[in-house]
Amino acid sequence: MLAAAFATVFMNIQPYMKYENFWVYVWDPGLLGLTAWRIWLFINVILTILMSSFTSLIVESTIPPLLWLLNPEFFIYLALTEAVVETFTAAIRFFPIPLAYIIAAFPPEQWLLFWPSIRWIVLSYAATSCVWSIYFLLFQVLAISAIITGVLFLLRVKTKYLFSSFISIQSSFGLAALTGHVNMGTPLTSIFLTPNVIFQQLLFGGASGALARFLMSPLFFSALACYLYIEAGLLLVYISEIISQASERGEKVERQLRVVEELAAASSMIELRERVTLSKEASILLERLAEMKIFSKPEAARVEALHDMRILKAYVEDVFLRVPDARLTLSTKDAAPKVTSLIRSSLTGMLLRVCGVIALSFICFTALFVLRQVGAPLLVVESLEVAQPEIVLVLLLPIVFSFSMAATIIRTLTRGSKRREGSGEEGSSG
Amino acid sequence: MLTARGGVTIVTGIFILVFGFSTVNYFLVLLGVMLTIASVVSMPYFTLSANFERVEVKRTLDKEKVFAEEFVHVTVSVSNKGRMKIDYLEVEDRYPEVFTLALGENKISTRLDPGDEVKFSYILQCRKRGLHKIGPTKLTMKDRMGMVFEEKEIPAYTEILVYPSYKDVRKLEALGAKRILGRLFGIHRTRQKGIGVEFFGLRDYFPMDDFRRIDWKATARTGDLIVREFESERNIKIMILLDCSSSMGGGLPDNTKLDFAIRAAVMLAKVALERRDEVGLAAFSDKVYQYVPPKPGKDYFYKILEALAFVEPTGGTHMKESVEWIIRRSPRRMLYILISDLEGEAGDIVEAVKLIRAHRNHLLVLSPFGPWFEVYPEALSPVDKALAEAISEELLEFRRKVGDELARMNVKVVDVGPDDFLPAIVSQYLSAKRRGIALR
Repeated sequence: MLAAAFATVFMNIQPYMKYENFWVYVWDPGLLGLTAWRIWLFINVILTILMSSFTSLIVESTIPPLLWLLNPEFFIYLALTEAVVETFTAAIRFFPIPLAYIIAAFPPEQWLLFWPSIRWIVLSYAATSCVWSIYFLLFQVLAISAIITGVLFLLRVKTKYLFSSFISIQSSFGLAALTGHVNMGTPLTSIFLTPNVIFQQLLFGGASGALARFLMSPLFFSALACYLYIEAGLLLVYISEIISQASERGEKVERQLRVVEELAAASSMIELRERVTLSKEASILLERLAEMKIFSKPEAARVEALHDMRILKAYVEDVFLRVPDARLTLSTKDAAPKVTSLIRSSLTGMLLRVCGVIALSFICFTALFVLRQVGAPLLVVESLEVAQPEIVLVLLLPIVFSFSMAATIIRTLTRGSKRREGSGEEGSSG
Repeated sequence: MLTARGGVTIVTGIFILVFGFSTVNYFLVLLGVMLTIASVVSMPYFTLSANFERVEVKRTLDKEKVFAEEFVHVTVSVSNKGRMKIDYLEVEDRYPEVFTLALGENKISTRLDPGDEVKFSYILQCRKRGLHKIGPTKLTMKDRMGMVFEEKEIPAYTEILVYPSYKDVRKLEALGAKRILGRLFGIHRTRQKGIGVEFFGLRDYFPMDDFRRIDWKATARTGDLIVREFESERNIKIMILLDCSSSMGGGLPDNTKLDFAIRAAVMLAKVALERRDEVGLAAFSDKVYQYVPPKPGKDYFYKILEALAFVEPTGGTHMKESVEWIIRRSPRRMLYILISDLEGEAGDIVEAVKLIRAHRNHLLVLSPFGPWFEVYPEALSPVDKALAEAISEELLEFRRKVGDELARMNVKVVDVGPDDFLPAIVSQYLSAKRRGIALR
């Protein structure tokens, strides 16, 4: 599923992204360097804008009184030099070189009149340009993060890694969608715009044809791959939690028993005034227990804590003797369900869920078809609203709420019947 | 109800849906729709299958009465009596906060097919005396994807009576004191002369003396009628008066004055009962909360322990009323050992002591001094230290006054701290025995 989800992402997002009228290969190693350089420039641009604003603030507030003493032309030429240097540098970096020459070709006096606006245009363009290149970096970062968290999920089977990888994958899609660089099979992306091939199929091809068309579309495949990724991932988490819980618990109890035995043994050694080296776990537990002995001196508290451990060890041994299955129940080794039945039942459940989700998604996405099938009035079927994308929400919300409503009704009915049963029993017993 | 995971899924679905609409990317719209539906689609089936009534939980303890700081093994069995499988069941068996989980875990997550049963167990350390309830059991059911859940607390409790700690007695036993005490059972000198086996002395014959007690050799030697006197082997009767007013609850957690007082009472009861003395207990504050009349016998120790298990610091001190109540029930002469911080009204304390003495009882007061139980002097800042000293001075002054009053009635007040509480009570008892007071 992970591979399918990744394949969907990387096959559907064009590896070439448009950048300043050039198609750039996303995974070009050089681009990473270029992107880093762009970010560095972006930071510089932002700092320049900030410093410039700050300088003008200072100059405007402090220079005027001194201005009377100095030649006014001095400031004009000073400002001009600063503007030329700044703008020329930005222009060279962010525009084709001729623009810089064009700017420089203006007579200084005339240029000076326009320089603030030109300067801001140049700098903001530079900033936008850098931000644009950040998309590339973000895409790369998201893709790498998706791979890392995906692999971590496969290794550790934790929900947080599953959701991290899923969100990373979808964010890379979202980013590509934001920049307009997704190639998702055009027919279904414009499903809502009439006239189109799908609608024709839906309207005149019958239910099976419509469903087949929906199921065969690349849009559906891509969405299903991503959905199945999270569905299968959660199923894996479930199976892992149920199966591994018993073994983890067993290991934990064994570890606890080892620590108790170690501390109990240390207790005897300490009484014989022998030097004892404890494991890290045992030392931590001993310190924690000793801290609870409030009125005892540290050394005495440790001895008391060790004594407690000796009592615990004796008690545990006694329990193991008295209760034959005590070791099993402590470690819950027999609590794990049978793996085969667990997997079989889980896969059946998943299949049913997925079928349900596909069917309901189909209903949401083919409103017009569904309305025709249920025999909705012609005014509704042919209304403009039905052909709008928002119709998905119009159908989705009632579907979602109907499930929640059904659950509430079932809960109310079952509780009511239980209450009646309860009162009936009370009545009969009374 | 949606779980956190279900919430995250639905929010992610909606976000993807909205984002898809904003960027006219229908792949994201479809994925958002799928996620949103997936997070609620199993709700009706789950609600139907989440039938808590068909889940049976049984809890068993390996013992119902236990000493504080000892351990108890709790076994919980969970079975599915229904006809539908439970995909994910989390069982958490709760225990009182004053207990510590010593080994194992008190919860389990599992899957139960119809008719299946799972068992798990854990070991608790009972840290505080009293009657505690283990339970309730919290059941949480989730669907397989962990999107929705239902939970219910099953109010099934198992009571466990925790006696005060036995470790002081155990220490005493470990030190071999038991053997020493054992040799002394019932053998202690008393000044009460009577029929016994131990020779006490000779005296002149008085009319009404038994002829059989005439020592003929001494009579022949002196020429006057001389009779022999023997020591009687009688045991004493002790009533432990335990002040359980709220001021006795002062001190560090689980190491309050009352906790120490109870440990001392346990120690005294054990030692005295082993020596075949009669021991009784009365725990009082504004009224008498626990009363056990003085009786002998080793088994009687558990009766006292049971009474001590329920003692909690509560109410103000009305010592005189309580003492009146106790004397009405135990009018015979005995040795009263009052354990109190004497933080009530001086008049009330003095009146109560007068009452005890008026009935020809002997009284010994062991008084835990509050500040010694409440703070570590090393842990205080200079300002706090000065404040603590001032409070201590004030308290000391009050106690001195009360002590002087009691001394006039020939009642000794022994100030005790955490370090010398237990030795003091035993040594005072032994000293009283040696002096032969309060014979029954």
